[in-house]
Amino acid sequence: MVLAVRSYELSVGYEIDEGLVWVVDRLNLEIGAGESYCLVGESGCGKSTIGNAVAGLLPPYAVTDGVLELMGVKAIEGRLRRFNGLRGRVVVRIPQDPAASLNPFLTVGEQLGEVLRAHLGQLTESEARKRVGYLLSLVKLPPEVAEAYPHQLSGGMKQRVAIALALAPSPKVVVADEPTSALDAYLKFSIARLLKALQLALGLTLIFITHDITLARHVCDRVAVIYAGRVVEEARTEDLLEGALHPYTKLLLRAVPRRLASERLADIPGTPPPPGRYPSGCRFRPRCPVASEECTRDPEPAEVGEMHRVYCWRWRSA
Amino acid sequence: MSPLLAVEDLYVAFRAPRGGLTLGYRVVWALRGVSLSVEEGESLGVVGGSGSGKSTLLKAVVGLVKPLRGSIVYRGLDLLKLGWSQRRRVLREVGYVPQEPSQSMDPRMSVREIVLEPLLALGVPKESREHLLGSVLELVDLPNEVRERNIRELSGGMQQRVAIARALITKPRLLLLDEPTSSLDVSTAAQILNLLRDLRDTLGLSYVVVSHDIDSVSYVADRVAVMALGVVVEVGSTHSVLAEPLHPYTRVLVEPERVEEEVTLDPEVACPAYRWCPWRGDRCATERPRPVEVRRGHLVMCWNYS
Repeated sequence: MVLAVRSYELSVGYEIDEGLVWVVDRLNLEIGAGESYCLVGESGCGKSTIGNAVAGLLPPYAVTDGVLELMGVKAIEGRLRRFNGLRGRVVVRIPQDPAASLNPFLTVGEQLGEVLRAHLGQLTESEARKRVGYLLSLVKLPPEVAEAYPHQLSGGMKQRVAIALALAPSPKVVVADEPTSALDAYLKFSIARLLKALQLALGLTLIFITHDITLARHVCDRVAVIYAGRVVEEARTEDLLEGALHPYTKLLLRAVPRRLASERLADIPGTPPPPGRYPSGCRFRPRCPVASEECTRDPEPAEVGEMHRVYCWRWRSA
Repeated sequence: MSPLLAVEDLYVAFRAPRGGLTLGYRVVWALRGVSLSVEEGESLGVVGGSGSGKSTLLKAVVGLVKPLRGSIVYRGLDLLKLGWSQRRRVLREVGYVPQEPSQSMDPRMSVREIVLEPLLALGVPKESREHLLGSVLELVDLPNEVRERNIRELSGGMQQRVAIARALITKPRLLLLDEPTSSLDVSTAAQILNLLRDLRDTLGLSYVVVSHDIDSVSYVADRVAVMALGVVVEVGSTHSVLAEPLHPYTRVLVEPERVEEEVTLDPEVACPAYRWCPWRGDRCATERPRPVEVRRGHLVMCWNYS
């Protein structure tokens, strides 16, 4: 299988006043072409930073280490980042807040046309219009939307336009960073379903970043749970939702209110540590109900099933 | 027994700029005849998409927006007919926790100042204020050290606890909560939901909890009301509504994966679900559905059931 995204010991850090803080720590990712992969985690765990690293959108002051390959091309190698020709062409990002990513002074059609011209060179007026109509039809919007300004659209429609913009250069890899967090329950689901349909229809590799672990069920083939800059568990979506093994994943799943179930939600004591104050060894150790002596060492991955990996010393007793 | 809070046929409208380069306003109806009631010790969840008017409903009860028509009766007193000072005295028994805790609190104030502010307005003497602060912080599980901390230094979950403490300081019977968990992470949201459940059980509080997430509302609510475009379309016990949703829009919220059509709500038609409803008839476009009691205490506003 061709790997669309492969990272080997990829670390990303930011230079702040107190020194260098590693937000993402030695990440190993292997995402096949045409696969949909979900990164789940709480705020501050580094999931957006991973997304930005893959999409080539890290700020200049970010520091990298390790290797990231996109479609076989080395994009990050140590401190070097070479995304020219990849960024916005092979890999794109769908932003978290669609309202902030659209130009309020241009109609939807003008914005889409601008992106199309940047990637396909000069287009005639009618060609451009045809392609804009096609992009809008992909995201299930009527062609009249091309004439509208962003402020005339609802939140769900703006998010669809943002998806159409991202798809304009026909990318291979799409990073969707919390595309549903600003939406209400039904729209959240309908955008998730749209992304899944587009991923299948266009053969995209989709990296879906969310804090909503139950949403992963509708979108992703595989899920990685991130805690404090590291993957703690990685599995096929069903296996993870039905048979999570890492203590953090288990608690997280029991912290989501379930329909018509009245048992008490799991209280995970404390809050996730902020970057720079990660504990040694297993980073969930201070909050973990089954932590013991051995957890002071960095956990090694344990292969517990087909494509199911757990980074925990104590998964048998959890 | 008369209910603790009864909202009857409430209408609220806002003026919104027409947009673009045209001047003038258009009228947007946020609530179009809402009737709901909460019994003593009962918790009501209000669910709906964005723009359904659920936050406006809470704001109308505490007097932040002025209804055009209808009544809000709290323990037999119509709040809209009371004078200013009398209403303030009555509303002391109603706590309000606004959406987005960080934006509803002055960033320059300490936790102590924020939590005690409602008491200053009520003229409570200093000694009893300090005493109340300690007991309220204990209720919401905040350590004593946070008293002098600035609100900006606290995490989102702690800020939400401060907002709840501020609402509890006047010893309310009824707590209005606007999206109490929407800005929080999964594990923090679970902590807040557990806290709300504990407070309800220990203090015997009544809640009106507004949220777009039907599952987190059902965790604390005995009854659920579903709103769409300023209209209540269904109300019933949490179990009844979630296990057997009746209104087409409730089905969308409860089981989005089973809905094939694109769901758009239309304010121009009598029934907001008219555009895509599988059971629609001619009547639905012109005549507003009346509530029908399908099961005991489970009402639905849909012509299909009458």
